[in-house]
Amino acid sequence: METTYSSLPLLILISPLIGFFINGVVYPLKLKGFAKTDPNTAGGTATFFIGLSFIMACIAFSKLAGGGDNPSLTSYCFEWFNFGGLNIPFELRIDKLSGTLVMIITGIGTLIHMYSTSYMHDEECVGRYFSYLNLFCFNMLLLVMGNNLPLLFFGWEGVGLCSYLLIGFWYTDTEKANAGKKAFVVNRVGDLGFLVGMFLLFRELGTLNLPEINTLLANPEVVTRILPSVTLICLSLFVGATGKSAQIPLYVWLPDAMSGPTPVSALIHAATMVTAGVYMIARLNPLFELSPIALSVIAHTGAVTALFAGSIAIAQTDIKKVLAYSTVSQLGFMFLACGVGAYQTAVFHLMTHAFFKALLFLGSGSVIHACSGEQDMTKMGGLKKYLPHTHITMLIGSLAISGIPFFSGFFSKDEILYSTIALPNGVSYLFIIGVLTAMLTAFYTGRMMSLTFYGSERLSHDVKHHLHESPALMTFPLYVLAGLAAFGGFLGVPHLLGNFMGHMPHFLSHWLSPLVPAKELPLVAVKLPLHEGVVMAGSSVIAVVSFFAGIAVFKKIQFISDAFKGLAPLQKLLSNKYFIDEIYSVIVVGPIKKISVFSGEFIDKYIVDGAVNGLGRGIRSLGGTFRALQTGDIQSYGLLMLGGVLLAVLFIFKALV
Amino acid sequence: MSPVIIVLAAISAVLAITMLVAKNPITSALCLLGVLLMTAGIYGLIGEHLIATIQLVVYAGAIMVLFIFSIMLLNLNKESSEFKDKPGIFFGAVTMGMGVFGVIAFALNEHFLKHRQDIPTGEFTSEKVIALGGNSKVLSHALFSQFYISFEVISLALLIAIVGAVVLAKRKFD
Amino acid sequence: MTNDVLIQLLAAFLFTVGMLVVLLRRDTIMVLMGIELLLNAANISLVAFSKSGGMIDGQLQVFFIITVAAAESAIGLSILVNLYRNFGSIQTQSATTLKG
Repeated sequence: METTYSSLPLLILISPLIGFFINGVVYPLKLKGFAKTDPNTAGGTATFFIGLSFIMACIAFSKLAGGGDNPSLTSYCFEWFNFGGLNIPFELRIDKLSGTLVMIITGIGTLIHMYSTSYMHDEECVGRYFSYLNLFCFNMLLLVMGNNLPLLFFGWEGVGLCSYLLIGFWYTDTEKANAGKKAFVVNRVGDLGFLVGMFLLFRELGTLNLPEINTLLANPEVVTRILPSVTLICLSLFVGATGKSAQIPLYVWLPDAMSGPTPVSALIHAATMVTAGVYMIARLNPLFELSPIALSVIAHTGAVTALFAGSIAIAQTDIKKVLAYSTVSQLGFMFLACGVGAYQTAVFHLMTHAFFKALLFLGSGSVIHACSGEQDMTKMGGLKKYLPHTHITMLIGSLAISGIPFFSGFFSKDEILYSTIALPNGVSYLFIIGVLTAMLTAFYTGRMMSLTFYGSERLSHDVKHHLHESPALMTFPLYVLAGLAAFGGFLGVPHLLGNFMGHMPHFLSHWLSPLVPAKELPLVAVKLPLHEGVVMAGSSVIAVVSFFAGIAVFKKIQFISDAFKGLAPLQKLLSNKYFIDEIYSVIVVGPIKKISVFSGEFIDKYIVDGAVNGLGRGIRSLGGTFRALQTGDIQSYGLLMLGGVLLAVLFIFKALV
Repeated sequence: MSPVIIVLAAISAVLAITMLVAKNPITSALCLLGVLLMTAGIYGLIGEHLIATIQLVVYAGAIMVLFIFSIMLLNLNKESSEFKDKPGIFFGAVTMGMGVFGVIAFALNEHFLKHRQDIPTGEFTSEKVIALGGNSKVLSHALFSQFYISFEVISLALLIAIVGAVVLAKRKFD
Repeated sequence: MTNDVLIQLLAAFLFTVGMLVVLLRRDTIMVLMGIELLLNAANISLVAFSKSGGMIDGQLQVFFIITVAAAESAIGLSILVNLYRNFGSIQTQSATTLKG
């Protein structure tokens, strides 16, 4: 492992922070207020800094590519903590895994900043928005580049904070502010698990430095020492991941997070923040490998979440909510991949998901912008001829997510599905759940496209009047992402097809190999005797059929209950998201509120205030007692003095103790 | 132990107690006068003739007269016995007084029994004093030769006291 | 019990009584009389010790103490007159301006 000390990681990290300061502090001070910053200036500044980060990330990437087996660029900044055996330096590291993610974050980040400049043009307080966006990028970069777990956690919390700030950007609307609050609180619940995991890990290994952890875990003695508690550590860390990456049971914040501006949803809740959990597991894969139980839990949680969220997405009317549940579902896929041991595939799917989900979100933003803020798909329809650019790019994104062959989603999703049966940790029923979810994904994506772009026009008169295609600054990122979504999959062509296409190797697998090991995927599966080619062909057929069925079915109707009357109760259950929020409200929020009220009215008022006030009262009464001695009558003073002197004399002559 | 001294001591003790509990201030003043007279007597019996004379002339003759004049001037009546209201304070104070007496008696005991022999006897024994011309002569000689500065200072102090008394008691003419 | 011891005990007793007079009597003039008694008791003790020790220093000191006592009682009585003028009575309870 070669480490080169370079200041590139630090520069990449600092650049968005500078943008945050300029937008958040310098401009408001100069112009005396957040509302006065010109949207173009704010957007331009923010885009410039994140673009700068992207260019530097490309330079870093090329440096890594020239390096050897496991090169890395490290920046050592300063000593953050160093006492009691706990040594946490502020160290940033770009190696092959974090380099990939840095490219994704800065690249997609730049495109989204560009998009936001045009999207948020008519909003107030745009300066605040861009300062938060840059702060988010800083925190996310810190998360992936941090060389030790506390720095990762710093970034983890930071992105949670920025998520709260950005979701609740329009804070004057109570519902939106509550959505931000919900995101933050649910994230915090997960973070508790992460912290516990970190504490236990430190207790067992004595270090929180990521490369050190991985080298320590290669040592068999350490492994036997850590084995009893490793399941607990992994499960605690996974709880943190469920909070950040929206898995069951802590996914409830992600659909509500759609109250924020659409570019925020694209950046944070599609491409970057929600992938933090997957990154953490991929980074700590030697640790997770030691605990088959934890891996099994992860795989099952991922699978169930994927199916669960996919089923809810079929019945949603808000275009952004469909995409939100789709994100939860795809994240479930990523965790499923991690759980069966295919970490590389999870990172691959992370990458392709970033491309097509960001594309879909930005496209939906373009649609919403065109429809003057309308988000309800039942009030759209037939937008194909009005929004050509948006339509074509969203179509590419939908094809990618559905897993249509040769688009990016096909390669990554297929690899995940095959891993569930090919790898020793895989289980065959997970394969079936995966296939079902893939079918649902294609189906609801087709439904979304159909309700929005095809079919009869259900637009209101005002909306139709103002309908216009988005400006170039918004469509350019859409096209770039469409290109990536279409061709990005070729970075990870499996060997089977690669042999046909002129021996194209699996680029991503080779790139990530030393850090994130490649599991040997045999052509014939272990659990089910299926050839990889059979799985590939089968999934392609299912994807194509589901997608076009989705488009065709929903050209005329809007809900599945319209087709079969008997499905009405199911439709109600799905559109109300299985009433999970209501259940949580009763089980969790209600008792907490009762405890808070009890604490406030009883404990605080009587016990705490009683103690404090009682202390005051006690001292006052003691003072009153002593005040009674000050009679002003010198003879009583004299008597007291006599008594005191007598006691002193007796004490000195040892008659008294 | 001379019986006369015992009698004088007993009378002065009784008079002191009477002075403590007497209601009428004149009674207290007269009891104090009596104590001073008994004291002068004791001085005389142990051969301190000069001191006894000074005690009679200054203490009993002048100071007590001054006191009695003041009491009559202020027209003090019988004061109400406030010991009836708060007997607790009275008995507490008396107990403390007995404690003080006990401490002094204990110290005296320590001195007389253990340390008396460590103090060398001075040269002015009774015979020597008589040989030198008597108590008055010896004391006056010492006063005007060895302690003359103190003598002058004390007369100055008396002068200051006179002036001060007059100033303090003067009626302010506003 | 020799003469010396008896006289010392008498001095101690008179001292105690004088102290009680100062602390327990309510007229200021009684307090001043108690102070005189205290001084007198100290005098007795001084004279007896110096006589039995064969020194004359104590006796001469008594001379000065008596003089000081006279001066102090004169001043004390003028203060008493002032007290009467200010507070209207010579009871010690009336002079409690320092009451807290």
